[in-house]
Amino acid sequence: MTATNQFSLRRISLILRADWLENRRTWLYTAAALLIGWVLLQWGSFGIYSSSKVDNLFGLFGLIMLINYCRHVGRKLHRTKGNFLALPASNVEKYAAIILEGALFYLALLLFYGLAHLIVGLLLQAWVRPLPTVVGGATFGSVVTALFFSVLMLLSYVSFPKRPLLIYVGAIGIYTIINVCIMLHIGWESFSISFVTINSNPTGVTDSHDLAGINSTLFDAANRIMDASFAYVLAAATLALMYIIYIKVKELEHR
Amino acid sequence: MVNLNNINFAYRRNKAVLCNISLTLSQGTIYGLLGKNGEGKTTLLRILCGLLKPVTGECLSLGFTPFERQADFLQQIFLLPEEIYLPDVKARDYFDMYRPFYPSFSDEILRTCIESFDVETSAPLKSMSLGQKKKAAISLAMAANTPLLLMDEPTNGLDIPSKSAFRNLVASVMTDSRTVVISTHQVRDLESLIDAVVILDNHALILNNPLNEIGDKLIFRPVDETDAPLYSEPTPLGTMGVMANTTGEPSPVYLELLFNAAIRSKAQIQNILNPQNTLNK
Repeated sequence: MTATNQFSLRRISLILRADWLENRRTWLYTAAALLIGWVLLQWGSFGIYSSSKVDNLFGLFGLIMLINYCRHVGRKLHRTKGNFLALPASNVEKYAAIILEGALFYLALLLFYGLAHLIVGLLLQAWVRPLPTVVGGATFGSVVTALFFSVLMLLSYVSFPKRPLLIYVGAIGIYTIINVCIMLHIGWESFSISFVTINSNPTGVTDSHDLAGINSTLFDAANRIMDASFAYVLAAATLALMYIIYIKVKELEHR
Repeated sequence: MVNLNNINFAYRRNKAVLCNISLTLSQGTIYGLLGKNGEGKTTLLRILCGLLKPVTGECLSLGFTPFERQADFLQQIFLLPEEIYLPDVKARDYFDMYRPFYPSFSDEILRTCIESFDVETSAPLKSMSLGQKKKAAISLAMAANTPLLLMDEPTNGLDIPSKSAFRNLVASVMTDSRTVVISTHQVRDLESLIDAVVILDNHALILNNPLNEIGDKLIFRPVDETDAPLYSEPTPLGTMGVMANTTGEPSPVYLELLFNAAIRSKAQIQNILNPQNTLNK
């Protein structure tokens, strides 16, 4: 068997270059439309400027960019006579190119944000915050949550050529139901235990507060543990979803 | 170069597409892969380049297991599918997109192809007709200059001068280190081009022989009532037949006649061309 190199940065850059050559016109038009839209929305409502509005606009355009990116990936993977999967590069390289493209889309979003605010700032001769709180004040948990939902959408577009957005919304619905069920279950368990504790304690004194006066019922403890571990669980789930996407890309090549 | 050993393939259970295909393709040869519609020609090409995994059997292309789709392997093969997707770019950009992926890409071959096919490089591919698109795709396939070139019905959609240009181009880019497999059901397009013929029938390989060997063992000529051909068919020039070549003189091979004879008189043709295999069976 011949020795092979499965990963080459040069080939990844060639894949990205081929993608750029193929889609540059569409991307440039879309970018121009997004930038104009952002400037108009920001400028038009500058009088009622608030940090939440900046965040909302960032979220809105982020969602538009994300949908565009996922649609682009889904389309090139599902095009049966397409060239992307036939390119002489390994699966890992093609997958890496897809992920890198996602990072580039995100960088483009930040660039649009900066440009839109620069333009609005110049037009109104006013100072504009350099970063929205969703970026500047992002915590590990919020970054992981955003990544999880982005990767979930990508998986939806990679796995389902028909109605991927609807399936994505359905997946979010299921995710919400599971979360609510877990919270209700924990709530019910802690309520039952507290009820038993109170009824079996004739003095009526409970240990629901510790010495520092912090709530320490089982429910609160569970809440704190969940809060602390939630981001890590979600990070693990994101990695698992990314692996599934890799398997799907590999599978789609062998049609 | 390519070795297939007892390959079986089915898209669905109990519906075989390829049965026990054992085949060796050598360097410096142009193979014509012939077969009726749905016999598994495209499937075989897709197995050779690793887009499909055989259910059983062993496949080695250029020393690689194709299904692993390793980058080094993919750089050495080019599959030109029957239906092609071309990006919405100018022909020039199309060539630029794929040129760096192939280490042995030849600008000289590309220039020759563009001139022979009269491809307008500044025109957007989307605005081209099917034939023009096909010519651009064939130009890229040839210029990639890969050791193994697989073409599925490349002449579909080409006009008559382009078919002739295609034959000349394939012949001109051939080297001792290249193998070209052309799958088609339009056998006349391959006449005077191929060196060997591979025929699939009933999802099995019924013939894999060099044309000169076929010409040595079979004779293709007009027949009359006194002859007892293995197969004959009426043509505008009279009845043409295939017979065992007992004269020792090499005979020109009529691909269409050979194809029909191989399908209708399978056993007799195999008996003459590959007596060893027939005895083994």
